[in-house]
Formats: sequence, structure tokens, C-alpha cells
Amino acid sequence: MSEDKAKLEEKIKRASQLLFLRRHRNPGIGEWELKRVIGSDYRAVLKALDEKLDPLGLTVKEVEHEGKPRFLVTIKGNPPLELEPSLGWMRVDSLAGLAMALAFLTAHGGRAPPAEVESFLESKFPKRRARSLLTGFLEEGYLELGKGGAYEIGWRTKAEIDLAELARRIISSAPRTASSENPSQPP
Amino acid sequence: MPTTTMRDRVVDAFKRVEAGEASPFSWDVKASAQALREELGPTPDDEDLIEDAKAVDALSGIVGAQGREVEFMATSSVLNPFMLEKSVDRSNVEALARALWQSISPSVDILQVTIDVLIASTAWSPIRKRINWSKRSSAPISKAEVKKGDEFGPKIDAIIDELKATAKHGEIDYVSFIKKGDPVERAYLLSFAITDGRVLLNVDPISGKITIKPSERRAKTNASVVIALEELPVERG
Repeated sequence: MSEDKAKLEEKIKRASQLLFLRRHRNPGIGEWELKRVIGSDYRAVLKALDEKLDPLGLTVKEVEHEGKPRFLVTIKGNPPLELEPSLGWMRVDSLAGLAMALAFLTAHGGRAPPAEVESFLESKFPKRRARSLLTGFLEEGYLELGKGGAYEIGWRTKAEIDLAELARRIISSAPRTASSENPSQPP
Repeated sequence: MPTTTMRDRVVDAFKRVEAGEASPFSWDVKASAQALREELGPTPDDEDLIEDAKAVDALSGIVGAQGREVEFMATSSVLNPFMLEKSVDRSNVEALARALWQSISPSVDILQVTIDVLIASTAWSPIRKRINWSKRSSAPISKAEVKKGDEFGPKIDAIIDELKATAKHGEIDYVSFIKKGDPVERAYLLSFAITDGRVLLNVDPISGKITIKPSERRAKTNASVVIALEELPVERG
């Protein structure tokens, strides 16, 4: 193995450790830390890592977070249905709440006042649950507070969720009339 | 207070757009730019120039918001926002969750083991072993494997009898009592007896020492009793 190749392999190992080991609340790593540890050629290293992850069904994604690039590893495509109940905090009502919040923001051009989003979620969740779900989405990076105080699509949503696909699936799976299915109501 | 000048109206409109209360397309940028030019007049003083600069900055913010919205709508490919909102209204929670699940590529990472995680896993491992995690599924709870009352009840009775024999109607130290066997299982069983009022638990507010004693009376109402994890007899590194 040539010296350059050995050096690249070492950098790939370091990059994978940085990307996989969560040191903070949110997954992924900022550009500055990658530059500091890997060096200025970090993008080439990430590309090589991405090629190694591809057969495992994983991929390296870049997303803008607070105006700076952030990198994280995600599943390529959608997770298998068997995993559905076990995605950490993502319980069924969390998934549904996030779908509602994102659909509402999508329908309003990507931003909306917090009170309106909360009120929208209250159509299916009790008030306190709706509020706690939204707080969780903000903390996890799925939603962000804009400069004017509006809810906006968060950096993690941009990295993990295909909004066009979400909209298509919501529209195609919804019953044609409100009376043909009883939506879940808050207890 | 009603805004009077075009400058004020533009700044106010920008604030409403930023707060998500108004669409950036609800503002006529061209007409307001023309009005601002006229409002500035032929001989503006310093204050006029500053206020005009603020208004122009706000106007450019509205144009920027228009650009972002166009870009967002183009990338999200939502042809009919009204239909999307109505579809959410008509869908139930499960259908919405499924729609998101089929659109998400979740991030993958490894949570590092910390001393707190280790302590927690050590404390609860005896209970975890009794639960067959491999058989967990989304099946209703009634179909899941749960301990039957006829297996669990006698265990609680046995630990109360043991407490009666040991304490002889006096108080004994909680920690040393549960340490006599599997501490987690004994603490778990005792928690039901305490909740039921068959065992009385007392915490000394000064020393923090926890004592228990048997009681013949059952509690009239159920109430949960919380015991801090620090009190569990877990060896810490």
C-alpha cells in the first residue's frame, strides 16, 4: 500500500469516527471540526467514505446549519418498516406530529407563526402534547425559529426528509372525504 | 398606532413576512419602490436618508423572502398547498406517521457509553433479563408476554412476610433489606407493596436514610413512590 493510500485510509477512519460518534445533542459534525482533524482535503475524504458506506445502505449528507455546512450519515432510502416502533424518540405520535408540522410549513411556503402550527397540531393532539412535540422538533433540529420568530424547516429535516415525497404520500393516502375515515381525536 | 409613511409600511410588512404572518407576494415591491423614491424628495436630509435606507433594506428583505419561497416551493414540488393541508385534516395519526416514515432517511450515529449509562444499565439489567426483548413487536399489549398476576402476587406477599419476620413491627434499613437478595427485584417488588400501603417507607430528612416497616393497613388510594437512583445499592466506579 502506497504512503498516500495509507494516509487516505487513516483519514477515512478518523472521518467515520467523527461522523458516527455523537458528542453533542444533534448528530453530525461541522465543517470546521472536520477541517481541523482531517485537513483541507476533507471533502475528498468524505467522498471516499461515502463510497465505502454505499454497500451498507448509508450515505454522507451535507446540509446547511446556521449558515455553515454540517455533515452527517443517514440511511440511504427509507428505513425498513420492521424498525418503525424503535427510532428513539420517534414514536407514532411523534412521527405524525412531525408530518403535520412539516406539511403545514410546506403548504405555507416554508414558514409560519408558531401559534398557527401549534393550533394545527391541536386538531389531532391535546394542547400540551402538541406543544411538547413542537419543542422536541425544535431541539432536534427538525424545525427552526427564524429571525422574525416564525417556525421554519430545520436543517435536520433538510438532511433527512424528502418533503415532496411526504406531501405526495399524505395526499395519496388521505381519504377523499372527511366522513370516510375518522381521524384520531385527542382524548 | 397606524403607520403613515411608505417607509414605515414597508418595514412593518417585512416584519410580518419574517414572522410568517404574511406572504412576501402580498406586497407590491415595484409600486412601493416607486413610492419610496417619491417620498425621499429632491433634497433629503440625513435623517431622511437613514430612514430611506432602512425601508430599502426591508424591501430587499421582502424580495429575498419571495426568492426563498419560490425556491422552496420548486424544490418541495408541492403543486397544491391547499390540498396538502386538507389531506392532513382528513388523515389519521397512523396514516400521517406512515407517510413520514416512508419519506425519511434517518441519520445514523453511535451513542457513546457514559458512566451514567453504565450505572443505569447495571441497575436495570436483572429486570431487562426477565423481559424477552427479542419478541417485542408492534402487537397490542394484550398479546405481549406479561407476567400474570398469580405469579407476581405471591412474590410480593413473600417479601412482605420476610419483612415482617425481620422487622418484627419495627423499622429496618431499606438498603440493607433489599441487598439481601437480588436488589433490583426486591426493590421492584417492594415498590408495589409500598404503593399498596402494606409497607410504610420513611426517609429521614437530615440523614437521608430510608427505612421501611410492615403495615397491616392498605392504602385507600394508590400513589406512586419515587426512590432516587442514588439510593440503589449500585457500585459506582
